[in-house]
Amino acid sequence: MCPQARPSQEDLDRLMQRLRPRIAGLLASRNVSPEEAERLVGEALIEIAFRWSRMHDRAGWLLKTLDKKTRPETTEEESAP
Amino acid sequence: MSPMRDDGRRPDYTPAFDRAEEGVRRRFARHTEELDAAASLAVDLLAAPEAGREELLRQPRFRALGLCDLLLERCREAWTEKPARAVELAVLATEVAGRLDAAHYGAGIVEDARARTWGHLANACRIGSDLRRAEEALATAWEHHRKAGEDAYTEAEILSFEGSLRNSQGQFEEAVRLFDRALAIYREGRDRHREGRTLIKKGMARGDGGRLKEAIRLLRRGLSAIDTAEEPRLEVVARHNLILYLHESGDSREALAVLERSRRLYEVLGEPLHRARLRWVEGKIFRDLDRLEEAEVSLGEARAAFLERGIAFDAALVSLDLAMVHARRGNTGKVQRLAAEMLPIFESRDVRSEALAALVLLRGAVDTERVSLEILEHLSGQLRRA
Repeated sequence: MCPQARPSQEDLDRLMQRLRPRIAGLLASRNVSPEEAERLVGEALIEIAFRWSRMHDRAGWLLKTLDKKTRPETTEEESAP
Repeated sequence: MSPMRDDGRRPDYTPAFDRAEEGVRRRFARHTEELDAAASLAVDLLAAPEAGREELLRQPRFRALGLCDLLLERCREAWTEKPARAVELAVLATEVAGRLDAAHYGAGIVEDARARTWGHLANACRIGSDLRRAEEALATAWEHHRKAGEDAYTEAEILSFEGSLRNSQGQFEEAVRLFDRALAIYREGRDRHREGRTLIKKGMARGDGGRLKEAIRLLRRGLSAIDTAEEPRLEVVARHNLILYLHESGDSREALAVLERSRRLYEVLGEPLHRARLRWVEGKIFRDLDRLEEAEVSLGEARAAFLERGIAFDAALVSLDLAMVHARRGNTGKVQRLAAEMLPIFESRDVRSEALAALVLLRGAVDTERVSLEILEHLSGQLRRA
């Protein structure tokens, strides 16, 4: 099936409802404040909405993006062998 | 401020998620309106004379991501049959993307759109045989991709365009390496259709590089993975190359069997040029199966179709195949006439020295009216490698 060109409001709501517990777990584990969470989730959702037709694993993309954006910077000492 | 509550439990993100979703709802509603308006913007833009387009593009309503996406879609539709039109559409898309407002869409989205438009321009130029311009456009695409934050899907798309460019440049191993990187992204994203499409491209790189058995395996895997409803013409291209490689690997009977199973597909979905290429490969298969009368008919039709569209080089290559059929049937007059017609077309192209030597040989044979099957076969082999 050809992926639809743009999401409906229900599509976005369904995706977010399904992922809320996992996103909350991820953000809490990274000590992300609710204010920062609002910004990060808003940005990721708008990106997914714009790229809807080009993405098949949208849930995976959303989780991966948030994981990447909240990953702590690796210090030189941590990355040294 | 630490997100952890005083009681040590996880903070309540519910109000933050609600507000985020509400913000997206408002922004995306505007984008949906914009997508609806994109079709009429595209009509206005494409109907305007070149000089008037610049003026239109300066108007705020044309600074729309929806218009950019629509132009890319039209570009993809055009690039097989009308490469010059595809280049024109891709250029317009880069101009629209270049004017998108980062404050409105977000810098990442805007840079990503620019990366995609330059990638499309690179691919359209490659199809139109302007490899130098394709290379330059590709470098710009990568630059914008890095600024965009490196979206994986855009990366896979640009990798795939670059793979096709390397293949056109004869760098088959590099093409395969790039397609493998794109494949890894599509597999991770569980995007089976794009994985299949990339397998087909990799198969074509292997086939063009002379590794026919591997090419056949890859094309078969790609064909089983693609969603033909999503990109129907891709199946025609894949099947055509499968038939060609089966034939070139010496399995003309299997090639003919696949061709017969694909004939309806060419008729329903194929463009006129696809059908001309079907006649061409069919003629070659008939020739190698000693069905010379049928070969003559198929090749004659293919040649006429290419001539009608002014595609002189392909018409000359078909003439070479047709001349070999006439030579086998002992029609020396027809061989002589075809050889004299195709020779100046081959001579006008930049070809490798070995192919050039074969052309000199043919020139001598035409002048002395001694064109033989051996000379034609030798030239055919050299041109295939050129």
